[in-house]
Amino acid sequence: MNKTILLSLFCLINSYLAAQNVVISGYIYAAKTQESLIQATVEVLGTENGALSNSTGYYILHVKANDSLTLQVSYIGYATRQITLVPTASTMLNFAMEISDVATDTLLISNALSPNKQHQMSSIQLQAKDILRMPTIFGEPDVLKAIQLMPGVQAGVEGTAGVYVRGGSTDQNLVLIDDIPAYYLQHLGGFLSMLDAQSIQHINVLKGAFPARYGGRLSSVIDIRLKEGGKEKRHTTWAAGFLLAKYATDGPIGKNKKATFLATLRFTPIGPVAAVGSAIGTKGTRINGFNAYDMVLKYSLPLDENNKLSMHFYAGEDRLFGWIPNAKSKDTLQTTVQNARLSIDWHNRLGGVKWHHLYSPNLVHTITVGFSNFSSKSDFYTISRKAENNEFLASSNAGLKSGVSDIITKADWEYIPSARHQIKWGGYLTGHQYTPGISHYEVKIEDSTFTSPTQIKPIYALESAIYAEDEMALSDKCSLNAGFHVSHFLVRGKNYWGFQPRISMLYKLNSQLSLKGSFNQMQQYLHLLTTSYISFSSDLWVPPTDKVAPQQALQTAFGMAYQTKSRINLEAEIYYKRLSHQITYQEGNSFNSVNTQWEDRIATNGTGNIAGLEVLARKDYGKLTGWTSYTLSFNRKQFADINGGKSYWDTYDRRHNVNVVANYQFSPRLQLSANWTFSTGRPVAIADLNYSSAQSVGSFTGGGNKPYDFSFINAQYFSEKNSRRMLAYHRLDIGLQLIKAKKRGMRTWNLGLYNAYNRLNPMFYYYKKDGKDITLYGLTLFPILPSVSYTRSF
Amino acid sequence: MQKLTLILALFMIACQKEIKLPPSKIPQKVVVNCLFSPAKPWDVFVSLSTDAANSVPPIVENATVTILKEGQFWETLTYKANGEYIGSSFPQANHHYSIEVKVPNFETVTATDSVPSAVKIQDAFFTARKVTNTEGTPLFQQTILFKDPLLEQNFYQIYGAFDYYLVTDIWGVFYPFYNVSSYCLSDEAVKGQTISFVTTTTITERPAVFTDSISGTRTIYLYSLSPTHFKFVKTGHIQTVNNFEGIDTWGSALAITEPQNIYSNIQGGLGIFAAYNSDTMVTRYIK
Repeated sequence: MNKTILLSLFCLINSYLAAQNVVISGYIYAAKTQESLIQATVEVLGTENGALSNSTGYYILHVKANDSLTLQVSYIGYATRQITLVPTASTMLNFAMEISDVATDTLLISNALSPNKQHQMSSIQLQAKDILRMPTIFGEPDVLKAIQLMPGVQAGVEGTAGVYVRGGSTDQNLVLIDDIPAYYLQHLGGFLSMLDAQSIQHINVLKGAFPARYGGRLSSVIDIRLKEGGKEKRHTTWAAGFLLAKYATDGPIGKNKKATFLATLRFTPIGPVAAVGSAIGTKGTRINGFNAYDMVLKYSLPLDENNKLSMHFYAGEDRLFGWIPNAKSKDTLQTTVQNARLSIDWHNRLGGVKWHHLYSPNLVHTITVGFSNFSSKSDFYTISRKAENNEFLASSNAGLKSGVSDIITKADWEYIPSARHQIKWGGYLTGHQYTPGISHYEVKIEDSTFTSPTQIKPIYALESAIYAEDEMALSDKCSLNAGFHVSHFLVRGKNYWGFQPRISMLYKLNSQLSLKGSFNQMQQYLHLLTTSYISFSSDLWVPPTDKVAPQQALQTAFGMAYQTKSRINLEAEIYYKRLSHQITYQEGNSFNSVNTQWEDRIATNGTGNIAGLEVLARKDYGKLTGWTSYTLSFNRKQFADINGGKSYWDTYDRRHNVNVVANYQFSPRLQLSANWTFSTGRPVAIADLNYSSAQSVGSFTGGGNKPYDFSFINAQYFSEKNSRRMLAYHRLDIGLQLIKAKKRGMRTWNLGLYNAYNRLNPMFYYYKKDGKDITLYGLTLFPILPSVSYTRSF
Repeated sequence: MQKLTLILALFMIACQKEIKLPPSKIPQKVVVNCLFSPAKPWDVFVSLSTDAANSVPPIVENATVTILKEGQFWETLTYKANGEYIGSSFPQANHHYSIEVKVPNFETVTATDSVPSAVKIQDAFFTARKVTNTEGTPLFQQTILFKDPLLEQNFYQIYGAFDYYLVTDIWGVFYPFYNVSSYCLSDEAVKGQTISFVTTTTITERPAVFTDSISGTRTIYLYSLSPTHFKFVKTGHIQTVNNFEGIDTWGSALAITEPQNIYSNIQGGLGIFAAYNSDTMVTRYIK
């Protein structure tokens, strides 16, 4: 009975609305490849009515019935299309977009819907070609490093791919690859991100004003959408650079060629070369090397007009290894042969299956099921045998393992009942397994075995959430997005709840200028424990427990967006963010304490206060495109057990940050790009005083056994954490792209110069002692670095 | 291990540049170092701190060093040489001591600590193994047994000569220093139990740093540390490790690891005033 009433009510409302309006909906895709275009703009010219296409390229627009109107569809890098029609009934209208000529090929970072008309604030959008054009270290286009050039985003330590958004740490970024969260996404200790830009179609970065549909992290959403593969014909690209070799292919697949696929692979050919080189150089006594790879597989199948299925899989792995084979040693008793092996490896694997269903032109439903796994492991193994008869003498085996695994199910609905409402709701359920540092140690000597106790066990948890939001056009000038995100976390019998309101508002003062504001509360059921300024795979992902609360953040922001008559976009935003329930290692502790639970090594209930101003000027049209951004920010943290309870500047507090990104297209065959970045030096702890400190009893080294005496060491005294600043950081990168059409396909030479004026930016400081003098040095990892890579596509 | 591998690799390929920073505004401090036990008379070292670019802190030769027992005056120490001040009395177990150090032109610094009871070694012995270390030196298995008192919080330091270790219970600090090694343990995980501390070690003929000789005896020292002493040893070890001794003479990677002050209980100054007690046993060799 109740269901009948509800359904009747629903139909009645729909009918009423339909009597006034009709729905125009459809798909927007690239004409050449048939790939869906995400966040393409559909506007009714002369009105404020418009929409953006969603992750499948689908758009919905409510228009007045029987009114003549002109629809304009635009997307970066594609020729704008216009169509005039008089809709009398709901219509399905698909748009195939052609790649434009010179003018729009020079587009860089932008959304075709200019920021002053977009409701969403605190956001940036990127496409693959934006990333591929930017000059970077080793000549490898890098997703995360492109994001680092945005206002409000800090880059972390020189050369690494860490992303620190508005004072948040790397774990506070929700990185989604086709809706599946990813964890540590860095190759080679963080110098390269783990995702090939070639596989990406679109990236949406949110720094604030998070809509209710996003949850689980505090500081950013990096929503990455993979390409689906072209529908018309097969494309193949291969590339070779200093560090990586790449192969990518995509195209139609299957009997009727309805389905499409994408496959990419990157790997390090230099790794095996290094291993062979070390073996030759040491005459076989030492073999050291590394290898890394990442791959993406995606399959998309439109079942019919209303149903689409897609599957994707990502894997990325790194391994550093060393091997000492058959080292001989001789003594009075015997000759011994030893083998030793060391390996450090970490990997990311994730995948998902997505079903996208249209109940009606204005009601869309998506179900996603997937998994995500990050694991880091290090192992050291030695074995000794008698040389004469291979008799076993001794062995030792030590290692550390950590990681996190998720099983995810999500359901999302989008309902657009009228031009004034876009309603979204849904939920997710995730099962987590955390492995916060399991270490093992075993030594065998003859017939005896000694092992260390394994006290740290996996932790299992269940996380769930529901959300609802409505983006409402309150008037022609004012729109409001209001929603809530309610989450629940269950771990070791402990329940945590999070009620997270989200609200954002847009007010258009005129056609060029708008004001925006937002408030959101976020809750995160995850912590990352890191012991240094370099985020590394050995950092521990740990959950909240009965002793450790979930992290929380409150953020409020105000901004303005203005588009000049010459179509330069100007944006300015101020924000304040407060973090609570932060954790960090207690002073002197690290991940490598064999016999202590991680919960006993940390300081908890930390807080963070972050405030900032971001200014951005961006030009997206013409031969010269690019942007300039300036960020002023203040970031302080406080823990009762750290720094004597006093607040201190956070590691990534960079007072001033300037980015200038420019791209000039001389011709379709020649493009020049340049980035210049400047940051205030980051806070660092420099010793204030040196003094003589006793070592422990029994450390006396003056000759003779003096068990009750001790020696002295040079000790350092730090009055306050992060009380000094490193030198300012700045760097210029230049890139040149030479493109030529060949008989089959295109070839591109990428020439790059990283750190073009050879600024020796220190990665970290360290002391060196020479006699009586102690000198402070800065270590620079990346001086001027040229690079060249060759790409061939068919 | 992973971070150390990465850091060593970075040192091999990177450039270095001298950094000039303005001097610190933190004033010079009085430094007092005293690790005391009933085994030896009062012995205190007094010096001053220096700026971060100077590795030779000046000693103090004109300090007034006073020891108090249970809050009452006990002894004024006499200056010996090289900043060392000595007394004639011996600290006693289960008593509370304080120190006051007055240096001209500096504020008086003070500290307190109590001497714990000595935990007894029940047994100590070693047996031969058929294996050698990477240098071909024969290895022996050494066992030390002692019982942790149930109702107290205890901290231990085991002093002897070990090259390898097999820690059978809880957190250990290990640092080699001219082949003299110590292990520090807290009793958190083994409260009230008999602790069997088993290690693999070498026995070679050496200078008199060791008491042993090729005939196979060794003296084991079991120190019972005060909580202050344990905290000091733990933080001192961490700062020593962070300073990366061995890389290019001496260096500390300030931005790779969290800076760690060595714990100090000297009020108004730096250094340590910490107590311990001890028991010893000569090991026996079981063939």
